Amino acid sequence: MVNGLVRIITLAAIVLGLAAPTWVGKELLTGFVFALILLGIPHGASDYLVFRLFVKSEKSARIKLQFYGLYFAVILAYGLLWWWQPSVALGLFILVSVYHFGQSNWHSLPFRSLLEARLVYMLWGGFVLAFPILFHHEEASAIIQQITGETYILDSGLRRALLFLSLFGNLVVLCHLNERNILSEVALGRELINLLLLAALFAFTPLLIGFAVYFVVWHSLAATFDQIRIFQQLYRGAYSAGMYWGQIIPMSLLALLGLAGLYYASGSLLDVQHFSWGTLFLFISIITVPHALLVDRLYERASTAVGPEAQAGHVI
Amino acid sequence: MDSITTFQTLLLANLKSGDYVGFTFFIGSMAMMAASVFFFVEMWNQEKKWRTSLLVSGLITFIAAVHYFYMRDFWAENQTSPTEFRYIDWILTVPLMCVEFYLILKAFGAKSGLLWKLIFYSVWMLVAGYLGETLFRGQSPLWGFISTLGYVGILYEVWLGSAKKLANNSSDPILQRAFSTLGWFVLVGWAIYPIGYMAIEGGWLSGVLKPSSMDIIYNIGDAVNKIGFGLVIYSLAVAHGNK
Repeated sequence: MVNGLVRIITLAAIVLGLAAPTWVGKELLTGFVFALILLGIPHGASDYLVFRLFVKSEKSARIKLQFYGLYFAVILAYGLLWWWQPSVALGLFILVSVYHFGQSNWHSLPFRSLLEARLVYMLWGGFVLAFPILFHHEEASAIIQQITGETYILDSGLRRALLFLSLFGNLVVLCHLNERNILSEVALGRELINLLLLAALFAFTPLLIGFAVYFVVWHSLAATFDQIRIFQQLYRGAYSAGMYWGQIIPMSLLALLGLAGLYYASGSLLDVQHFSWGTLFLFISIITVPHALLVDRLYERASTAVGPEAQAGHVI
Repeated sequence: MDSITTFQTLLLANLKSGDYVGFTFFIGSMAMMAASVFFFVEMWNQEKKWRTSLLVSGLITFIAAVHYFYMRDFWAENQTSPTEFRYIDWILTVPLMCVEFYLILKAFGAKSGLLWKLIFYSVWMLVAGYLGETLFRGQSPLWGFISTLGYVGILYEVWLGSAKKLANNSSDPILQRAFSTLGWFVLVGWAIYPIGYMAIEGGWLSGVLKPSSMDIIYNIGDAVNKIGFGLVIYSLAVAHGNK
């Protein structure tokens, strides 16, 4: 769920993309890269806080050991998959991201079944990922080629058909949610505006600008506020936004250090002229998989029960 | 004598083996005619307040059936899409389908303003679509956009606007269910028409669907949309009669 400010920022990006596409593509890109790194990555830095909700142990050291052990095992396994079968790893990343984007947008709705929820998640996530990739196919292909070493060219007719289907599919989903009284007429109107705004954002701004605006403003910030709200709900108010920010800073720094290490290893740490988008997306993909798994559990917990720590009056 | 020959030609229209488009023209014409007979006969078995709605349902399928007789003949002779006939059919039947929304909501306070608004949107949609598909083919995206505004207008009224509010306030679950089904016909069933428009040469989806595939989709879609619309009205009348 997004607010008016998000829509205004998006509209501004669309207007700039239409009025000064070259300037947006070159000058504004650096700013968006920093926003992507500084705001996008930290929204996953709360994973440890999420993990704490699912373990019984009261001993902080043991929880940390379990968390880092499992977290880095997933990262390592997925990193190995990238090295061994990059195309499979890319497919997995796309699937996980599609689900994650969709879930973070719609998790608060009271779906009739898990299947219905997942279909809605996949359609929405499919739209926000497919739209920029299909609309800016050549730019996207170049980045995919950097990551996997393989070239994927989709027929233009197929791309247009998929673009249409992803937009129309979500239109049908929104009407379905309205018909089931999950979305009121006002909410339906609002979500239709969101859908059209995003389609215009992806169509009229360069690939990376459009995606960065979505990732930072629509996804990361919304997910961050969602997490704070859920923690407050699970810990029955004995939790504040200040505590959240204080707790995620160390993990954010660790993630940024990891990203810097990856660029250092690839020999392009300070080479702004030849910035490797492939490396950035590779890094994002590696931290996205464990993050998406944990967030899935968090949303499930938030919709079904109150955290055990809340019952014991425990505060993180 | 000439008229007898023409009539015979119409009845003995040539259908080659493997001509699936022609096949669906025949199915469309027969299905529409059968549906018309059904609605015209069944309207007398329903309460008086539903008869006009069922009469309009029968008229919609009857007009379509007559056009489909012409279209199947046109196809059999030329093996090309009968675009003109389609638009003549649509320009009569689509506003009538919009009239159905007004008729079923009339008992719940629908004003004639809603009727004229829906008719205006549908005529706007079809006239702009026709101009873009025939006379101004070079500017078909622009005319397609203008036409879409009419479609969006109808969608707005049915899903968010005054028609939806009247249905919600009716406190009649049978009507609400029927209204909702008609809304789905407009959203999903009618979506084949803008898709078909985008599939014309130079259109946004050109190359994705062959013209012959579009004719099959139109023929099946037309039958489902028009007969389906009427059957929803019929079910509404029957359900009210059984209450």
